[in-house]
Amino acid sequence: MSKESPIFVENLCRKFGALSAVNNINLEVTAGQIFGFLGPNGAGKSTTVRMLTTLMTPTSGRARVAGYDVVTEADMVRRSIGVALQDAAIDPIMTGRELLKLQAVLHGVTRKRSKIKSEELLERVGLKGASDKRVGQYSGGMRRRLDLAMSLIHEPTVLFLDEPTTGLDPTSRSALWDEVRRLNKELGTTVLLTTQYLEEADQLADRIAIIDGGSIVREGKPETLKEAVGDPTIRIEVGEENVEAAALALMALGPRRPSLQGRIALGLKGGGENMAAVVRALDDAGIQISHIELDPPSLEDVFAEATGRRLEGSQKGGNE
Amino acid sequence: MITSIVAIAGRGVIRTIRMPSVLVQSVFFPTFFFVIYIGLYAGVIALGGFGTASIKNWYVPFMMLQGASFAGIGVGFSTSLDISNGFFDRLMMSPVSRIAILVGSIFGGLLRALFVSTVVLAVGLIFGARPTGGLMGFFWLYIAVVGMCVASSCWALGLVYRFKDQRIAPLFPIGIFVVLFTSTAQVPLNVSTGWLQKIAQVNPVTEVLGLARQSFMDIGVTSAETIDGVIALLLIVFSLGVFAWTGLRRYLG
Amino acid sequence: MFLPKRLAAGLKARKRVVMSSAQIKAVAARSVRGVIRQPQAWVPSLAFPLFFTALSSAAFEKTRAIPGFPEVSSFVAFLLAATILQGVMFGSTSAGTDVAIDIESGFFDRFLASPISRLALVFGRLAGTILLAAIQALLFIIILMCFGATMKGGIPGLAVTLLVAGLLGGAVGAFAVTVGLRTGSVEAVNGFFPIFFALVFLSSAFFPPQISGGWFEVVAGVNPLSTMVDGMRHLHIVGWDFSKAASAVVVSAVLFFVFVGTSLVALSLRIKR
Repeated sequence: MSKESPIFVENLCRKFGALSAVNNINLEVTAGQIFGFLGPNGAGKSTTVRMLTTLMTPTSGRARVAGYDVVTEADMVRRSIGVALQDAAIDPIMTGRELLKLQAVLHGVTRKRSKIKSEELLERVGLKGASDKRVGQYSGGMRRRLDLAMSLIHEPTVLFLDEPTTGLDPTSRSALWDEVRRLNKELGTTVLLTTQYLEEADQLADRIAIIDGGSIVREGKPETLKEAVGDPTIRIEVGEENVEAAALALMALGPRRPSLQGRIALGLKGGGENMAAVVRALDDAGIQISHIELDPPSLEDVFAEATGRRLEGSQKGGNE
Repeated sequence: MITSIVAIAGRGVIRTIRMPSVLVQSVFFPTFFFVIYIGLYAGVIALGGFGTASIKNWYVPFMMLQGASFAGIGVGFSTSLDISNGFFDRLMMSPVSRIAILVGSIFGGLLRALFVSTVVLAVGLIFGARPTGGLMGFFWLYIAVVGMCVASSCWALGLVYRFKDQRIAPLFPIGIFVVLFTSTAQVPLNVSTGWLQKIAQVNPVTEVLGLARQSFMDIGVTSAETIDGVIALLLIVFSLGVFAWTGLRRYLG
Repeated sequence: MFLPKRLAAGLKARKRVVMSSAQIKAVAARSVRGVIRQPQAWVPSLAFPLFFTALSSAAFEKTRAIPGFPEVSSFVAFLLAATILQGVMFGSTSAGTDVAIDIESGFFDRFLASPISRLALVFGRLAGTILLAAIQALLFIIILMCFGATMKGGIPGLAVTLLVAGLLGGAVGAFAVTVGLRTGSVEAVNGFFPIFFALVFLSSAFFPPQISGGWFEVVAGVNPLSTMVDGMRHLHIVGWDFSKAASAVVVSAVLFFVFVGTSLVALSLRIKR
């Protein structure tokens, strides 16, 4: 591990009284990466981000961002990072352009540079026409895009996006994803993104870490993590009353995985070739199948395997 | 540093201008009370010892300080909003010095305080208050206005930074109200009795009022009154400044 | 009592719905419970008048020596009526804010959808408010008597004071309910707060207007709250006097019935919606 990586975290802990919100986290994000930080609400994502962005002091452990220590060199860290926070924290009575200007001044950007940069960013996030309107009149998607522009005005080397698309409609969401990809590609900005949406992590991140109960339970490239799960997941709808009987009948075919009510899911040993065996086993047990599907391993499966639960509120899980 | 202070204070100014309803409200109460008080307690001046024979002269400076103080806590309200919607975190994540954040926020409230106190002064003059202290009198009056606005901003900010919760907001005006009214706000020391007299004697706001009232007292500006008042004002501003500053330091904790 | 035609017609159409005392009691109990469970709603209306009384009595005690000041043993005794008036006026607006909250949250519709009588909705609320106002007045009397206030009018004086406080609480409550029903907005109800404030200050509550003189004496002279305060105050600091007691009761009763009337009109308009 290199201490000069844009983000380098060593044994980071944060306690609130007796409660341990973040427990011994180790992380490294290399330059130019989009790193996805995935976990349910209250898992410790936001606490970690608050520590990395100097908004909270760690109880113990160390973290370096852009090569600077977040506690002893907080000021240098602040100069190097851009942050778009959950709920797009912006003052509703100011206009978009005023907020950009304020952000530029706060980060010590010269007036001339700030003017050029503002125009460029407003253009980039598609807010040129609305830049003199008060932010209170913006839609949710516009606020997030302005937030993104504000976090970029001082050309940060590391960008933190804390649940950037929570509460957005699907169109605004994918527009924001495109923008993040483009930024990363064109400017080489390192991005740390927290999310509770599996799809978001899957779409954007080069590497992900799954955090649960304050600890990192899996970390790696999405493909590697998925491969490590191994067998594809078979999901069979059998009705609430037959779930246990079905589980018994299918015991030999693979380990059970978390699923929605009325369904049974398992990691099917041998993959698709054994689907027929599943159908036969249920048929023999006299259990009727109303729906069946076989999916290659997904981040959902990675998460389920690591935590023993489904990720609540996750997109894919929600639509299942 | 200075540009950051100006930028942060500029937001306060924008807020003042774009939210006229808040401005009207903060003008309404002190002017309203001024008019009521000069009617209601007109007869009280007969007791003597006020340093002026005009009840209007007696109440104008106090109502200006009251207006400035309540305008000052507006900074606390807007900061608590900033904290709840996350905007304050954005400030804290910028490389601006923490002092600039505090000072900028406080300066942002000054415009409102100056506006409110000047309206009260104008209403006072219209209703018949007559200044006696000349330019120096007005100078010290406005020093007191600015000082009380800064002090009450610090009081509100100190609470907001510590509790990070809008539910603390009702405490801002209650604290100010209690401290202002347990001074010589309503009557001079020789008229007040009992517990109020004892508290007013040691309440530094009494001295600050003395400083401010020089502009309207028969005797005019005196160095003794000025020195006592300035010392008291510095004491209030410094201690509440420390309260706000330590609160801001704890914000990250 | 005056009942608006539309409301009367509406009530006739709902003959099966009878207003029972049980219903009024249920609504009243809910409003009393609501107040007790929200200390932030009643603590200020107890604490502020008391603080203000403590402050004014220490500041203006010596004004009793000014010629024309009524014969009274202490400034606290002079302020008892003012304290009650202030506390009741500020405390009773919560009836209106509660209605507005119920409307905002949709809870009011649930009431309307139940077979409860529409009148019970208003009267129940007001019964709760009247009760709380009387209790509040009693508390003020007990507390201030520890600090020098008097009740020279004895038990009849006390009874009339509580009755006036109750009627005034009901009047203010009914006014607030009117605003709450018409606007459905908590903010609008609270927006009237400064007006109550002004009315109390522009009466004889805090200082004898004959000493103040000028425009203030004129304004306080025509303010109906002054009649109410003067009547009560006479019972507190002088003694029993039927005509003084009657004037305070009549003024508060008139205010009460007028605003109950407006609240019923507001209710009928809300139901018609």
